[in-house]
Amino acid sequence: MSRACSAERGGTPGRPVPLSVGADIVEIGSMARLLRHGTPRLRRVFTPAELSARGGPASVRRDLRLACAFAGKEAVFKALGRGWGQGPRWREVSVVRTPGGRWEVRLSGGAERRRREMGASSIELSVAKTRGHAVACAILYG
Amino acid sequence: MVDKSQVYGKIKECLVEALGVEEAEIVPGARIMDDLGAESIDFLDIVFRLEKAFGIKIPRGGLFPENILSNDQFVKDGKVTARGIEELRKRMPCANLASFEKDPRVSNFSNLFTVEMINRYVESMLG
Repeated sequence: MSRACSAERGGTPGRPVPLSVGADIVEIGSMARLLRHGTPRLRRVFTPAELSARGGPASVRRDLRLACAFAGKEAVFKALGRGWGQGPRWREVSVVRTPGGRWEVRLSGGAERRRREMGASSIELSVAKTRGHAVACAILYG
Repeated sequence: MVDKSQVYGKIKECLVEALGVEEAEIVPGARIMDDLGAESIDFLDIVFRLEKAFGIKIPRGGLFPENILSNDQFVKDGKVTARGIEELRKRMPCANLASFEKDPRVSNFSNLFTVEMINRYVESMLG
């Protein structure tokens, strides 16, 4: 998503203005339990890109990687003002780590409509993990 | 004919495994989030476990309805409107709305998800 000039919102011309923030934390163990249900069920939650992404070194375990993606999705939901069960569907927010290490957010359907309603032009997502948890913070910019 | 005690036993098993709680904590009135500590990721685990345990397919929004709290027609000033309550009645026929109706604050919405509600839902799915 490209960033837009937001001087009309009171920001410095050319500089994006933060509109909202969302954060989430996920237990890696919870994701490991979810993975046991198998790929067909996981497809109801994750996009093909999320399920197939390497997301960094091959040594990054799948539960860690998908816990990061899940925390990222939830953080974006919250930044969109829509927590669990309040709107966008799981697969309408896709969160994938680029080879460069940045987290890329792709919206579709209701999530994309919500972004437009909010006047957001870009989303920044930061994700961190330990052996036990993945945490994510999303900021929507106008 | 559905064996209700067998159904309840399996539901208890699913919740114990998904949430890591003691079996004694699984009582009909226990709230899935506030009493048993479920997070959104746990709801997915619960749905998938129920599907496997009972050989059913739970449609999206079937057990935990979507798009109610984000709809301005159903929520006003932080409370679910009368229209929203009617919608909940349609979409959550297995939930006990009596106490929620008395204090329909959005923050109380998660109280509708109880062990009893899941039990009723699964029973309804099994016919």
